[in-house]
Amino acid sequence: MPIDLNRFIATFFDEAREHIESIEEMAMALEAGRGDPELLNSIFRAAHSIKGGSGTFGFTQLAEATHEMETLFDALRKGRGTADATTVRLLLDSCDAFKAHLERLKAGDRGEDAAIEAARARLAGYRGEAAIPAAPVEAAQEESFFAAPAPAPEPKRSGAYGLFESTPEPAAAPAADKFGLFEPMPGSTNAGEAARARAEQSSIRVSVEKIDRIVNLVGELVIAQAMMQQSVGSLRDEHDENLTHNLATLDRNARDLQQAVMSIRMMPMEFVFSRFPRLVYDVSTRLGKKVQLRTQGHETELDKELIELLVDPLTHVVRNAIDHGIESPEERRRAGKPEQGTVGMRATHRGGSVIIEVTDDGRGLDRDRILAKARELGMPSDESMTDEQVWGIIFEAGFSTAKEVTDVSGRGVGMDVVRRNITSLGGNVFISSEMGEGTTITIQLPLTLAVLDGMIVSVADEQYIVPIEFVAEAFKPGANDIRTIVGQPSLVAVRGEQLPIVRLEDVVQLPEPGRDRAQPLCLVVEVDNRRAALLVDSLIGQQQLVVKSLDSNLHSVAGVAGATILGDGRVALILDVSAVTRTHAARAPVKVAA
Amino acid sequence: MKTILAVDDSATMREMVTFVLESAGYRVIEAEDGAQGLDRASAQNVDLVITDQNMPNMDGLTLVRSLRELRDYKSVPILLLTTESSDSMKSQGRAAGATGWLVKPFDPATLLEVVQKVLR
Repeated sequence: MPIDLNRFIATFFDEAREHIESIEEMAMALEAGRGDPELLNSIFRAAHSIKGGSGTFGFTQLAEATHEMETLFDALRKGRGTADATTVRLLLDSCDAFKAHLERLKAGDRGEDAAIEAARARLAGYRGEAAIPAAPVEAAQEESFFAAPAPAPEPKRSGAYGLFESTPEPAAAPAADKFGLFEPMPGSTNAGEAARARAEQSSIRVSVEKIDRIVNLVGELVIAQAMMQQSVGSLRDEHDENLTHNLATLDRNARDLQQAVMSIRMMPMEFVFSRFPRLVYDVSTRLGKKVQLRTQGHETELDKELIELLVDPLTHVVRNAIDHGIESPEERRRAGKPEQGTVGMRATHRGGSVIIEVTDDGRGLDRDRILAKARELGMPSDESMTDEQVWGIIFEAGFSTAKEVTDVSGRGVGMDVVRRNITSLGGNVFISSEMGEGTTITIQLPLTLAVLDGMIVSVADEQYIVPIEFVAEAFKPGANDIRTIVGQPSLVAVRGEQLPIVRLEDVVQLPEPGRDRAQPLCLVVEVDNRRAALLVDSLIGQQQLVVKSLDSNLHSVAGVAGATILGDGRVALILDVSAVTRTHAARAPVKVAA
Repeated sequence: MKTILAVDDSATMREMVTFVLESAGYRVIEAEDGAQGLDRASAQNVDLVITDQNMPNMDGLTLVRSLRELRDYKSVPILLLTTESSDSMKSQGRAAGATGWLVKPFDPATLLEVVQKVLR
């Protein structure tokens, strides 16, 4: 029976990658002095699995290199030699070579790879250097449980399989049972069936495209359902109880379905966290610092799309924490802290958001230095600013207090990019810090980008959506609350705070701007501590909406985050509130004495 | 339809074994290690067990020995599918109570041949 190996190759690539990542993780644990036998066994097993798979698919170079790693670990787990920092470095470098080689294989490049050959040679050479004797592969199983006599070696030709003649032991199994099928135990059938159902919680692999298509279709269904609801609502005269009831059922089912479908796209934070042990190890060794990473909330789930977009900003934050936050071992000793610093990453759900905190127990932010630097750069700064406002300066473009640019953090990417990335995902970033104690960066993100709770507002007969998470409050301003200042945006007083007014019709560039409204409404929106008052004609209501991307159909439009279809079938634009506040609102609103 | 339990910590290997056996009309259930294999085998009757040796939690030989302790599995054929085909491996397999062994990487035709032989 011919078998097309290509259908399994994707699984192998995924699996090999997982194994390589777990080898990295375990290698770092080795150095941390947690070199227990089970750890060595696990690394051995991981290397062994990659080797096995590589052999199956004919990836000889990878098989040979992992064979060397396997041999090394087989020796280590048997107490021949010990693992030290050099071993860990060697393993991590080898893993890099394995990963790069996998990428080549994935891309269809089956050519000679000098890098993996070098890794193989290094692994083999290291074994020689450390005087670890090479063990034959099969010796991996040399520990014997039974002193059974070895059967005669089989000829090579028939060596692919063999059947033992006397099995199991005759005493244990009566001869009559030898070829028989099971005799089911009386009464066990039902219990057996239930157990069978329990036992079959298996999984299948589905492409992301297929899932996205389902997500999209369910989105359409929810919209169609909302449209139906609206049409029936207008038939109020011929009120039919059955119809209302059935529609409510449909509504509930559609929402349940939507939630269930969205949950398919959810992935645990594990996928993000798993990249960080290696990063922390590399960055801290390069800087000569001692840092341990603690992660929490691996099972916290987040939309796959967000997971992918979260990696870069988080990487930057963690790098920063090690580079600028954690002190050198001497400095920590002098400060009476343990030499080893701790970077923590924690993910939790809070309401409809995911909160990711990155903490360090380093030196904390230096208020005076940040203010001095801000003055130097000509940024608005003031001794009377609250800590929160001072920390906010870090997020401004062009700000970096690092005394010198290091190759770790100084990549021209600052916290401003981190914040921009996070806010563009509809999230928020906060800092809290204590001098000498450490810093916590908190990132808040929506669970998904595919649906959002929106406030429907209208201006000049057009409807727009303001994501509800940005809406702080809504009110009708009195005639005396609004102040128009020449050359500056108008201000509105909200409980003693003067907020800049942003006219929605200006944002969306409707004709006849500045027309008079009988009774305008103010929607206070807040992003990154910037507040603004959005002036609209009226509030229509609040609704859960399915987000449709504009980028894929048109192109990115300033001030617009996307579009949605409303219950009446009309298309409404979703406002990009962070862009609106950035361009129209003043930072750190002026407090007016009450 | 005969049910075969395939135990291997490698998803690739499980997928391949399952594909070959299902194509030949068998019903296959999978387990990721010996411990899970033992759970699955205890939860339902299977007609044949094919297991890897080197796995986390519980290795193949321990699984074979544990299965042979169960009344329902005294005579169910168990094959070791392993990269190690040394003599010591074979004698350990025999001692543990395995029915036979098969080397990895395997040839689909050979796998089916052995399976048909032991299920007859």
